[in-house]
Amino acid sequence: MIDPGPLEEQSNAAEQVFDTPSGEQDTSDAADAGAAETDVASETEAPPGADVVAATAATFLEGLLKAMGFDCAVATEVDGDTAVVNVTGEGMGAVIGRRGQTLEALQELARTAVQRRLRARVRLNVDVESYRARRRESLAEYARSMAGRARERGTEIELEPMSAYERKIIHDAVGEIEGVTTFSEGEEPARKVIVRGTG
Amino acid sequence: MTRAMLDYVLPWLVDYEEDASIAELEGEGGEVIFELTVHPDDMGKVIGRNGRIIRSLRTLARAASPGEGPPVSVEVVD
Repeated sequence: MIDPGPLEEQSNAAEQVFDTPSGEQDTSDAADAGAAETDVASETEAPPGADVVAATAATFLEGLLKAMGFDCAVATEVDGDTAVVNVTGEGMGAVIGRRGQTLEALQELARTAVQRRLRARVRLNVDVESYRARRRESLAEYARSMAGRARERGTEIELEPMSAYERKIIHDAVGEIEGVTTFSEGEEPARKVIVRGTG
Repeated sequence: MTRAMLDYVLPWLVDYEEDASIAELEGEGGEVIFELTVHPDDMGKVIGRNGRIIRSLRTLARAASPGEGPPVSVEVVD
């Protein structure tokens, strides 16, 4: 392994910025100094626009999925300073994978490829058949119902292990509700959100 | 399809494209092993922090291989 440094931040505050490229926040951690992405980290030019990031990501993904044998279409949009790319087509279940694992890999590679090509950190989210959007909605709904239960009973409810992305969705959804709070516990990949009633 | 995927992705990840190559071997258990050889300065780029990139490549390699075919693995060699 090239870098033993911590990948996942320990505080919920850090999770609030989970969606920066590959979770690689600016850090003074000495372990990062010799890491693979110093070419990106040392870049000081103005960052590329989200439209450029989206177009580059679309080019990368179209070529990648074609090489993998999938016939699909890639749509881009810009959400604030984040580029969003959604892939649609036949047999996309294989591209999403079990619990979105293949989609996570696709996003990881797309972010890295685009960052190398543009020589800058980028904000990029990749979705397939709006899987994330749909998962996000059902997770938020689940979080709200758990929050209601925790508040009613004044207890803690431990949720199943989730990715940083999914935990962020839970924190955000419960954060809008009075009388409950959330925090994360445990180590990746078993890190989980605890919903605590504070009423 | 796995080979085509790796051929496509590798140039996007490395700085020294001319030093990057892919060998296709058969493992003892019949699995297909893709060995990536890259410039020493590109090793970390293909492996990624905490192995994130190589893990992602393996996940996509599985997605790109036909379900009834032999298992595939992807390794970086120096």
